[in-house]
Amino acid sequence: MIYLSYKVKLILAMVLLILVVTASSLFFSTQSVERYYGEFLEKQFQQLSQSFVQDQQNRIARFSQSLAEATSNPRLTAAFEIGYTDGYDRFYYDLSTQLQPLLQRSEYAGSRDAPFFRFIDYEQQYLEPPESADSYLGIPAPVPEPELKSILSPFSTEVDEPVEAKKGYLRLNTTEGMKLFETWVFPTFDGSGLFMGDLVFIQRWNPQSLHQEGSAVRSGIYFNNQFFGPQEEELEAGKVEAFLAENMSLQSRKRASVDLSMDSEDYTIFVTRLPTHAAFGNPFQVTLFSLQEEKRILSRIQQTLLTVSGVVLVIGLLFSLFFGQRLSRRILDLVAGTRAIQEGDFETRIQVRGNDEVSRLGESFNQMSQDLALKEKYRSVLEKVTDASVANQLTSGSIELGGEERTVTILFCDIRGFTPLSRSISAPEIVELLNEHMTGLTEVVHKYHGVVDKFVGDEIMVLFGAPKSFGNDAELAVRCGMEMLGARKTMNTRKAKPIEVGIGIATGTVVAGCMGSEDRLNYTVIGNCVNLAARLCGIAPPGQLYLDGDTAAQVEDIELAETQPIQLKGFTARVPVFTPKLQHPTVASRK
Amino acid sequence: MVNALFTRSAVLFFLLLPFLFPRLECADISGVVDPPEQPRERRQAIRYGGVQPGAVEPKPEPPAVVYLLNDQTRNLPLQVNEPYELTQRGLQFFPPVLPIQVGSAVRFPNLDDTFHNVFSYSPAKTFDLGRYKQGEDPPRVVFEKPGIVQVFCEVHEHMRSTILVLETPYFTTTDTQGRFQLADVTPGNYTLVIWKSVRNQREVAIEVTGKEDLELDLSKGRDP
Repeated sequence: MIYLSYKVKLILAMVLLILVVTASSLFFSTQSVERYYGEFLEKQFQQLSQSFVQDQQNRIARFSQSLAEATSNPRLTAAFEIGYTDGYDRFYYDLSTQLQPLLQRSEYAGSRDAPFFRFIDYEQQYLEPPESADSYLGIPAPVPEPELKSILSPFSTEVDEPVEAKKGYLRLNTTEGMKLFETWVFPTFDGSGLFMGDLVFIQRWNPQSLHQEGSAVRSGIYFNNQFFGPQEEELEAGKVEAFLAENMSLQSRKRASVDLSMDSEDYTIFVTRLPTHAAFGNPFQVTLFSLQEEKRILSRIQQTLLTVSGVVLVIGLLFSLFFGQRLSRRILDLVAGTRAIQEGDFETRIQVRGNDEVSRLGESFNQMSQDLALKEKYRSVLEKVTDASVANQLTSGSIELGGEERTVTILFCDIRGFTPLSRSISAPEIVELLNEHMTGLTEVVHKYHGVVDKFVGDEIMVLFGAPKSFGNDAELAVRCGMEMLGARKTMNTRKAKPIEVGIGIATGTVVAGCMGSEDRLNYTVIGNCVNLAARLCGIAPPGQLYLDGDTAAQVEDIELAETQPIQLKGFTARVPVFTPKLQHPTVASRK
Repeated sequence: MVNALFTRSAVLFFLLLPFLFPRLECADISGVVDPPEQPRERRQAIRYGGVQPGAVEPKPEPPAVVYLLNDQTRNLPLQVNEPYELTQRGLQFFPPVLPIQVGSAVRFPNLDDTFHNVFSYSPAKTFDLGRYKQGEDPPRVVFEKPGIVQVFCEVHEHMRSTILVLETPYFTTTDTQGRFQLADVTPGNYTLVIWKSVRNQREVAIEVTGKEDLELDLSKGRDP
């Protein structure tokens, strides 16, 4: 398991969050832009194609009206009527004269793209213009006359067909290659309102007709698998054609991108069928919208987003670092504090900063360590005023108030000749002497698991087996006593005035427990053997240890000598007294 | 004056000729053909530019023209010296089709209150009479070349008529039922032409024996 600090986790979370937010913002903004731009282009395309269609219809309507006026001339009718028998020279001449104002109105008049016309009579006979007509018909036909005849003848108005103008496109194989021509078929009536036939106008298609002023949109016409556009070469008509050939079968309009490597731009292609007469086949208006603008908008949004994200990331990292650092420092402070407490330094305090959960934790910690320090203080005081093990048991609550019956061994030890000694030295000297004496002997007591019950003047009272038994408490008591004598002897070698002690040990059943008033309790024992031990101590000669029979009965490894039973004060019968044969047993002899 | 007297004497002579030479046998031809119908493909849009529709008379139904041709007919003298009349009345030409023999004259009186301008582009006779109105001396045109002369009015584009200039004195127009009658036809082999329009004419070979009159049923495409 990799260790990741809180700070690192915070930073990672911050970075992850910003990455997710940035990525989703990019995704959704791209989606929105593409959708809205697509709708915008769609609308633009609809307007473009509608205006184109409307324009065409208006042109046809205007032209039909003008044509009706032009062809109702009786001289034209006369010329037409004689044509059947006498040739159509005059008719074509009159027709071109009549149409001259109309054709002159065309923006392409006089140019290569100028419109020209042919006539198909009411019996659907194509009226071939006489050779002399070249002089007044203006531009020559882009394809040979017989070919033109076979191409145009099918567009004449059938007998059962409604009489109305038809519009369409033609592909003519001219000397300049395949070119697109716009074609209009206008049914024509003579002066008396009789149907004369169809006047067919043909004009080279000009891509400018699909072009809007100031627009970067490229439009063209896709007809019979060929694309006729504004800059056919530039636009790579082949690519457009291949794309359209693949996608044309389906709906009339579709949006798709096609990659034109010419200027390495993406285009959206819109396709819609142009409303032309069915006889002319299916021409489609193809409009290419460059996606450059969309890309520009997108990249601007992306740049902005990335910049903002970058700034936010930096700010986020700084914040994370700052707060992470602060928090981890405070937590480390706490960790150091707890370690100190663990090591017993209850005086340790941590610095509380700010006003949040961590600072509350710090306050709690300080409170806790303060409480612990106080407790420890009480404990050490308790240990001083009572025996350490009693204090321990008291604090742990294992000592029952009210007392219990236990079999214990009691040891009394007092100084022989203390009263005369105290008279011969000063009080401070007495205290010093007593402190040294008690400290030295208490160490021995603790060594043998004895509990110092109390100090009374120069006398020490020690319990074995209470509050806790350590096995053979009697033997421990005897050994303790023997070592106490030894210890005193050793201490005496350093003293100018030697001190002699006497020790009495007795074993018996006592009541052990905390006793005293409600305010102040003492852990002590009450029983006959206490008295007995005190009496034995009283009669024990200096440097001697007396034990009673019950104690002696429990001692196994120490050789004892029984003295004459002694009459003790407060005891009716004489009491058997024992004393160890060896007053100074070695430590090694103990188990 | 002398000319007029001579002409009248000549007419009288020819009128009396059958009675003067009863041995010279001629035959009458009568028959029936399908009346000409409006070609179905020529749909009509009602359109009279610049005139009140009420002022225009209904266009008269053009009859079919029936005439006989052979090598001799073109050498026959002019049968009618009086000029024919192609009148303009109710903004229409009457008759809608006028057969005449080569050399005949036609006058074009205007009976309307407005100007007319009769003209023809037909190579058989090209003319333009200019604008004239009622009461003015009606222009007169002599047709010396055989052929079809389509006549229009330059002012009223719907007006039209056809003058058939024929190299024969044997011609007539059918009635509404398509019946016709040709009188006093010299015996011989003829081509009988039923002319309905520029684009619709039919030729039938017949023989006139002179012993009896001919009764021809040429309706419904029947042969004699």
